[in-house]
Amino acid sequence: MNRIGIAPLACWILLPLVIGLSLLLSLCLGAASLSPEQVFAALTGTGSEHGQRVVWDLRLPRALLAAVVGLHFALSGFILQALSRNPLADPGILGISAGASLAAVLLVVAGAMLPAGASLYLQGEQLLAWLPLGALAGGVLAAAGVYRLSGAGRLTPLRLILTGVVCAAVLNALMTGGLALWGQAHTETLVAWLAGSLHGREWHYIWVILPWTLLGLTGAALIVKPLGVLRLNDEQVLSLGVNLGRWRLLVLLVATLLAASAVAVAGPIGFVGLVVPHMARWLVPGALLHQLGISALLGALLVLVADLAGRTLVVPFELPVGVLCALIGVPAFLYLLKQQP
Amino acid sequence: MQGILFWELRLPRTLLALLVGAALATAGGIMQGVTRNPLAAPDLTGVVAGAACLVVILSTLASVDAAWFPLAGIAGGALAGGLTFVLAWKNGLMPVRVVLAGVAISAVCVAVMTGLLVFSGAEAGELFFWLAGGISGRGWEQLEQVIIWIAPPLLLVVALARRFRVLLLDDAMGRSLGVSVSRWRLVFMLLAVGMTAGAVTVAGPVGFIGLVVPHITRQLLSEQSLGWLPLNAVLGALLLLSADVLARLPVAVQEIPLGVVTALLGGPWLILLMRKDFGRVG
Repeated sequence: MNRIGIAPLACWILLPLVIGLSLLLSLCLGAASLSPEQVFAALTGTGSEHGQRVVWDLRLPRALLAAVVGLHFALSGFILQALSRNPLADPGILGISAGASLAAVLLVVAGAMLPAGASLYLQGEQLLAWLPLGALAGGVLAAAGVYRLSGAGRLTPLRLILTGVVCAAVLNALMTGGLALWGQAHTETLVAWLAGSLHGREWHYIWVILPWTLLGLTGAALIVKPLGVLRLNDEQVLSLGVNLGRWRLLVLLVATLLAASAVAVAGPIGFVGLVVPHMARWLVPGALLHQLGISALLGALLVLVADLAGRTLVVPFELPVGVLCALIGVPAFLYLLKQQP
Repeated sequence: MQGILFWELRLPRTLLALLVGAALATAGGIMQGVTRNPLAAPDLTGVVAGAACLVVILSTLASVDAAWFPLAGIAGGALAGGLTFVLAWKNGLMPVRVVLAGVAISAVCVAVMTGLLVFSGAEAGELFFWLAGGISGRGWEQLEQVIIWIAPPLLLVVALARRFRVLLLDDAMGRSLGVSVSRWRLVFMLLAVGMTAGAVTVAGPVGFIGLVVPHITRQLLSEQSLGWLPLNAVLGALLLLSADVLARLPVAVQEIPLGVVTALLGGPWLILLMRKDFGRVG
């Protein structure tokens, strides 16, 4: 498409503005409210020490991470929906998040159980750096398993979704079991992580996920064209002389990479990948590239706002962002299900 | 010592395993038969999650006496299951639609439960273990609590097997036999929900039994046969008992949660079944 229409242009301009505004809000609001002036002072390094600490060390990395994680889930969901030609696809529903979580949990448990010498690389920040890789392996395995079991080449949308749901159920049961087995001392932390939480996320989480974000964005840009082709009928695609299986695998890999790395730092936040692509398609019908970009921005906005709401609504407590996203996402999912022929 | 081990620990636990397995499997058979839907099991339709959710709500927010849990579970399970079927309804109940609506309803229940677990703090560990599913440490007390919710419905279902057989036919044929199809359908669904809720309150959300067992029994005996529902109960009881024995084998420091064993046994089976039998499911 040579000329950008009015709708995409408006979205591209407005969404970053709204995201910026929400970012500012999430720097201001919280247990200790700061005025925008105090926030700016802290950001430029002229504020009080307390303000510096709150803004730089706590709120800014957390808000940025929320945005990045939202972008990951939304892009992954968009790609999966286009790939499976299924408006109900989502990394959570297809079992990718569950596979990634299971692998991450196994890594954490192994780190805690191995003798001190052996687990040198499985502790603290080293462990954190390994987590995305582990989660990616788990996510890829789960995605590949779901893909194979649902009949690989003869992939029909319904088959894929059903197989995904069942695999996710099995993986989730294993994960809950793994956690329960590991002992009750850590359950509070882990329950929070499994709920999808951004509590206490500081800068090193950003550095851990950033390479994956860049890789994922590059991958997403590369697969725009194949994705456009894969949205057609199987017969139409085959008549173009395209190797369907290989393309699907590549596209699936990019979606998995995005979802798994986000799971590794924030836990399995569901339904972002389900809802956001629909909003994007509704806002900018037609052009795939715009939809992909708008999805990413909308996902960032959604998780940012959900996290802000989760930590300011019921103050002494903090609602995990995953819980809020599920509460927003499920009605949308049910509405979409009603629309299905 | 041996007497205590046998009378106070192993015997009640074994009886509970049999009871829970029979309840879940029969409930699965009923739900699959009544809705003519091979995937309509208590766990996939949100009944299990709904029951668990209301129990968690009552125990964290209202600190209600444990004796009320089965009732709360029935209410929650009926609510969630009913909602699933209402939402999935579109010119009939398509299996895939039921499963997807059930996934959504379960997700809401899990979100609410997780939120409450985060608030409840100290009890989180205990609740988390319950949510993994298992009957370790359960004794006569729990058995007495739930047996009234499981055994009478089981007996009733066996006694009403003739009615159930009619429900498997199509509606017009049932009516021509002089049976009020929709009323009996409701009765059977409520019995199934009651059994499930009883099982969930004592054992936590143990998955896959209600889904897989009816598929196995269908290979052994025709659904139309009067012995089909009782066969489900027997096989479910056996399966859950063996899963529980596996769960407490001394391989790990701690017991493996029962839900994990049933997922490991049932999950692959289910996936294979879906591969083979997809035509009926989709």
